[in-house]
Amino acid sequence: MSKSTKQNEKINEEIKKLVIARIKAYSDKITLSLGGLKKYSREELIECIENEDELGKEIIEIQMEYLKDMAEGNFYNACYE
Amino acid sequence: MRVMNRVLLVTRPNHDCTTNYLYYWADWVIQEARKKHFKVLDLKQEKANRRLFISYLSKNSPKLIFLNGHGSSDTLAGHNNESLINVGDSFLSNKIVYARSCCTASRLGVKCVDSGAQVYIGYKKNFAFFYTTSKITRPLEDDLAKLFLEPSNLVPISLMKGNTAGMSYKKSQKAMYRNIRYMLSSNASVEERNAIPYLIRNLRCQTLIGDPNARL
Repeated sequence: MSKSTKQNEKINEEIKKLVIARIKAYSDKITLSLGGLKKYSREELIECIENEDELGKEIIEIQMEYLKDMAEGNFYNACYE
Repeated sequence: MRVMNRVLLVTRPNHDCTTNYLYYWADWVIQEARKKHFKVLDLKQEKANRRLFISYLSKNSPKLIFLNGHGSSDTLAGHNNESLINVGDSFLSNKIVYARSCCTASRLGVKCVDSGAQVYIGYKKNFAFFYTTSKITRPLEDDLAKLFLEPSNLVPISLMKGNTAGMSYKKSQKAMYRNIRYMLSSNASVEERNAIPYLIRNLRCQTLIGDPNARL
């Protein structure tokens, strides 16, 4: 395995940990409806991310998009107003 | 002088938690339609099936079609996930379609417009919303779900006011943006802050395909 592949896997593991930490902080009073027929509690979301299934990958993508938005200050400007 | 087509066709299955929320929130649009003297063709629950859908389309010629339910890139479903519209169907010719459903704007919507629909507004990826677990039997009292579903209702409501598809799409986008700004503020609850990334996703994947100048 090349050095860069190993590095990517490590980064992916770090991202997974970060997203799981964020989901763990969710209130247990809420449920997510996202595609398909299922609804997801906090614990089910974490399981999806750990298993890297389709939904888990989508949650990671959504969370990373959000963190990027926050880092770039998007939604704090007035582009829609 | 052009005369507005005042017929609205709504499909709103109700067979699981997600469709239950969409079912009740679609009722708000129906009430608005009745206030504006629209004839409402309400294909609810078991009536949200392909046979009735095609029959109502041909007999009543509604211009505005408001679809709620599960979806994928190739199909949009009705009650118990019976498929209502598939890639290749051409019965939406000349219609203004709004689909509150997952993924249909990525391919199905494009194909509908290719087959003659005037405009198709939908979501390219999964449509997401959070709800409060304790409000599951009273979806309209759920303030968390409201942050997601109220802006999504604005597309058909704005169209019924005579606005163009482009203006209606923009109103919905603006409302999502406003809600995101509120959810980022210190006035928001923990639950509301948890939900921000998913509303941003809805904002980004809501799409208009076809003629933005289309109107009823």
